[in-house]
Amino acid sequence: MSERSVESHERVLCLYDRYGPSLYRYALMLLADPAAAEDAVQQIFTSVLRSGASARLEADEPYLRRAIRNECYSMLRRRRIRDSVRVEPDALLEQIASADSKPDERLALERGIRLLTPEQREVVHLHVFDGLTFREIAEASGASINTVAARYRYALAKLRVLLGGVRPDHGQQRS
Amino acid sequence: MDNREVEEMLRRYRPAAPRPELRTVVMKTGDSGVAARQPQQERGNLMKHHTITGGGGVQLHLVETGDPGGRPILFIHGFSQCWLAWSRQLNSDLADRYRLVAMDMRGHGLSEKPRDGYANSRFWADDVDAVIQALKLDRPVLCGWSYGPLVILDYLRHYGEEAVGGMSFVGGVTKLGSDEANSVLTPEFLSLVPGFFAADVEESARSLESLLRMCLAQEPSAEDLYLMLGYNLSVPPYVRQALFSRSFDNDDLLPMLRKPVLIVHGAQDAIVKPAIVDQHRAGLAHAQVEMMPNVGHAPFWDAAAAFNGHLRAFCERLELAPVS
Repeated sequence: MSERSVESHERVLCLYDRYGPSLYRYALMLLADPAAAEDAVQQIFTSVLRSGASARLEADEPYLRRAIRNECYSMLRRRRIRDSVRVEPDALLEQIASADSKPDERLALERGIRLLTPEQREVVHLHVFDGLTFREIAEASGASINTVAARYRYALAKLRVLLGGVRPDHGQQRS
Repeated sequence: MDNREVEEMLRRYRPAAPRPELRTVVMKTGDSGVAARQPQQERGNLMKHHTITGGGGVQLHLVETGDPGGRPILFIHGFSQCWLAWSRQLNSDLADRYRLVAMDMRGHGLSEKPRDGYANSRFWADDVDAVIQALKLDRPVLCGWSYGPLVILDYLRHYGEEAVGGMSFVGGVTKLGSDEANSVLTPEFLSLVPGFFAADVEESARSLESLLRMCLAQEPSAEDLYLMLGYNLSVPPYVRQALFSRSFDNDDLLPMLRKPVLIVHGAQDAIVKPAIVDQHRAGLAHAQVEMMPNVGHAPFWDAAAAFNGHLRAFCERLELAPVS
């Protein structure tokens, strides 16, 4: 491997350490499929390496987020899993440290999230987990604020119905 | 349960972290991915054939293969050729990721060969538009060889570049029928031109065989030459004459193009002088240029793996670009 190539690899790894986990989480929520999310991240970093753009991208997280978004939607088109339900045993969510452990609640939430459309999952991810406003999400996704707000509203409504049997206090199924 | 409770429940979680192994996978992809993804030739991918209606009602033949959900690449062959010229792309692993479409230009291959309808730039533009519309190609990369870029520019003149993702000019010319246009063509090639129009079959065949040998830096196999000669001879002399009778200059469009452009040229091109790349670079400051060593007028044939690698890298860069 040439010196330039080694340097480029090291830069890509630094880029991965900095942005990889958050890009993966974004891809995971869009695709609802851990293996596919890994493929998407791998593809983006391979493209970065091939294009030699790693130096330019070091401080350009928005660019990488657009790239992972493009890749995920391309994958959804290719695999035609856009509106279908995939049974995935791997976890989509992890509990944050301060929360009480409620395995049933997590499983119910994951089931619900998998039944949302990719666009709804994306809004939930960006608004709830990444803390973006609807305006910021609209700018990132090219949709109008009204569309983004509606997607979020429908997503919550759908989750509410799907989680109807899980009590928010102890996460047990109602009899 | 109300929306607030659902939100609260969501906030007790976050998306799962990646496996630690992903970092290693990314690193290994960087090491081996480039080599592992080198195109394999002649895989025998399944081809779908279409017939659509182009400009002025001419029936056009198209071939499609690859990933129907992938970025489309529309291949446009050169003078007197047909879709088979792109065999080493259509049967490569480009098909794993991209939707590959090759058209037979009017008068060529299995497309209709009317007596007229070649002089009007609008018809050529309509042909490309008809392919994009009929196959619903989403922001395709238009990849044209030799005469192909003339057709791509015909399309851009009449339809703009809104519907395309990018362009690739391969051993391409952008103007025709003037001293200036002829100055980028080699004298050896120009000396063959009268033979292309000969009604005499033997003379025509001799000229076309010379043309094919001139296209390639390496001696073609007998099998390849036989096939190429076959589809070259299937183009009537009046079509070849009509193509060469066009006198136009599409260079005025070059500085106006904003979409990404990839220029590929063989350093040993014996038909279109490599010096043309400097002219194109002057008009297309943002173009990426790949001058391929030891390669002739048909880089996608002479060095298919390397050519496919350039095309793939170009398409990957398009995916990295913001959604337009």
